[in-house]
Amino acid sequence: MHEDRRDKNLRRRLTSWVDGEREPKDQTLFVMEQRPPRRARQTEEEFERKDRDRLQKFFNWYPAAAAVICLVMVAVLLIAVMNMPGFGQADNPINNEVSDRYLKHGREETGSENAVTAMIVGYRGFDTFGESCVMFLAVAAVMILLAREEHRPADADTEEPEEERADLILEQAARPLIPFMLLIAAYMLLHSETTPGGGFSGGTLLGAGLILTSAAFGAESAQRLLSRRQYSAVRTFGLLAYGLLYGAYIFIGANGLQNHLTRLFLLLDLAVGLVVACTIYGFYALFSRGRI
Amino acid sequence: MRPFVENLPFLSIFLALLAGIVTAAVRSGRTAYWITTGVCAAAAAMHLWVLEYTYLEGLRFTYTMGRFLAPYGNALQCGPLQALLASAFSLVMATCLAGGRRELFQELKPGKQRLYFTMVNMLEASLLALTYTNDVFTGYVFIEISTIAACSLVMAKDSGPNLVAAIRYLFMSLMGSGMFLIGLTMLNSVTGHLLMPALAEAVAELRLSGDYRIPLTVAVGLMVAGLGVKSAMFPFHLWLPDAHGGAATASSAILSGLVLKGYIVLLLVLILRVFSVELLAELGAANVILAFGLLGMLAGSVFAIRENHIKRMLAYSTVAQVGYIFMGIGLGTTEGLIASCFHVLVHACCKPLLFLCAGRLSAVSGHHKSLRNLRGSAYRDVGAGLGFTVGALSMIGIPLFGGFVSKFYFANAALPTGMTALTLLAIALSTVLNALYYVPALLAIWVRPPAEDELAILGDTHAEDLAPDRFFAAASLLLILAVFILGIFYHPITDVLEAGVRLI
Repeated sequence: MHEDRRDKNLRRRLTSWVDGEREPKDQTLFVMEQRPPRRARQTEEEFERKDRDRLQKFFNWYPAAAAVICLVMVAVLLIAVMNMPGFGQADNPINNEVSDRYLKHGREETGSENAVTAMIVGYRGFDTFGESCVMFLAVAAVMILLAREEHRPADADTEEPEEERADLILEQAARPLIPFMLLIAAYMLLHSETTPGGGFSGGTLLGAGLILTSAAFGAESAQRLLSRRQYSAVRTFGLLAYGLLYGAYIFIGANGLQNHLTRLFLLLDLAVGLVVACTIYGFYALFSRGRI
Repeated sequence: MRPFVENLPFLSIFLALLAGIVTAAVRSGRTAYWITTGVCAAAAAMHLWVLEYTYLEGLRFTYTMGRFLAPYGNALQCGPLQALLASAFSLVMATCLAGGRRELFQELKPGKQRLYFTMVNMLEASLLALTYTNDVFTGYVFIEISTIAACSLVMAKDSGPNLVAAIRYLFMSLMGSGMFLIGLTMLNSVTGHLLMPALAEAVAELRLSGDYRIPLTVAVGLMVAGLGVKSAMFPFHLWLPDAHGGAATASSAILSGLVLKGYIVLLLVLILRVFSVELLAELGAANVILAFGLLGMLAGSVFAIRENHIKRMLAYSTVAQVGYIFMGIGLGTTEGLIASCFHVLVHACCKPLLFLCAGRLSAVSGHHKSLRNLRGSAYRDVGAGLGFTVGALSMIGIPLFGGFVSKFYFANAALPTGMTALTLLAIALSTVLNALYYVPALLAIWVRPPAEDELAILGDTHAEDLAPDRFFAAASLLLILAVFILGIFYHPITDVLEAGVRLI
């Protein structure tokens, strides 16, 4: 009885909708609840409440599910690793003509003394340029996340007193250390052609020197060494120079033109060094004080 | 000396990367915007030229990055398929930026605008590189770039929900990258190669000899699953609705229409060029992909039916559409892969159109997003209403619209396989489910609400939002045309795709 009536009702409603006698909104918009327009304030609260509920539900099953998934992954990966070629054996598939060529002809083909540098800057240089872009992007992403608006005195006020406090031991230790760090960084960068991954390690040391300056003598003196504008200029210039030089190198190589770019790898490594130094110093500055 | 046109893929990637670096340093967001749009449009033109060159000559070429030949140094590989996809992606990228322009400048803080465009440029570069790369590790590097840039697009709009969504997106996405990287190192240690042609030879040898079977299986599984997580394959889609539904309009359009496609194209190329369709079927991976694809097609639509937030509804619809693409891959035939490629194109035009129109419709309704509050909004901006209608009809699969052709090709591809009944049933069911949420949405925007409701909505709306938006109109017109071209003059395009798959 009841079913029948509902069925008839549905059919009547459907026919009247097809005939256009009826506003379709109540039937056809069945996916929508009838709700008052949202106010900005309500959404915020509503979102928080919903999110808490969701988190609660999530934590009910999360530990068990995570444990199961992790154990399965561990088992699969262990089985795979046990069946892989043993480490360091001469007849492994990776000891093929590719690594042979890198070791035997790396020097004459790329002009680099070091096989690792020959590979990362020469043979697979496009990947290395990509990785440098990753670092650049990472700092840009942190800037989007943390960078404060430039003209907001309220933030500056709360920040200042904390930064004035200097640590005597740190300061005294940093004073003799920093010049040597910068010196060794410069040495590593200038010899990056002949050391494995020289640009990266030299750049890291350079960045560490800046971080130590900033930590020991406060943001002021680090900014005197490398102001915000200078930082941005160095960062952009480093990667841009790298991109342009390396682009020219690829263009010449791919088109079989005469290569007039001698000592190119030194320049590339210097550029990498600048990018790396700016990246790690940028992370430190942004996470510790929210601005460069 | 090679013909100049062969330099264009490399030049366009470098142009986008350099534009990304430069836009981080320019002062005003407007300059950054024009640089970015210009670079995308220029890249589209360049790839059209490459397409003409490769398709008419019927050739593909390898571009060595530097002077080192194939198995030793990085390389790009370019054929008609890559050129077509790259030009479509670049064009849609420029269109998304134009269509979401007004909202971008309203919602982003002035200090962040230039960085936003840095991210867009880097995304463009990574899309192109993922399409063209002939080196698996280059693929990984650009996956990283794409991950960071995509997460930044989500968090560029400062709000609590967006940050939460960005964190989820970041975690899931990094897990995908990690799985891809582990799979890649395993593959490298059993084959000794990273460049695709050499890798393909080594994999074929391993397949015949049966050595290192388990590591090979795990490596293939991890790489497919890693790319699957990043492109929202069904059981790994949970990050998508928050991330795509909450971001600014242009970001949603780019993320949904293009970023997912970069990973999918890399997967397609890996399957066609390295693993081979036969190996995938032998390892059982094809059936898993097919199952996930079919489930995704249905589940995505079911979730979308339950949504009343228009952008989240579109985001869930993306899950369903990605399911179609994975279904094509999982069929394990070349026809299936061609159908998937076609659907990549259709979805890359359709979804940005829907997101842009939804953004515009919500702008003329006081930035409300629930379907209820969008009632009658199509009359306030008829262009956006028409665009949304075209996109929705294409998604449902009405003839003359692009979506119909891809469903037709999927159905065709399913016929000679052993999964015909299951696949056809899933396509039919998914079409009905698509209609179940797109038709109410269409009725919602085209049926006028009672006068007092409309007045209340209009009270929330700013006058500047009601003013016609020329950039949006141009963008939506372009995408509508693209949907119709894909739906009516699809033969030339499928010819190019077939030639491209043959020459991959």
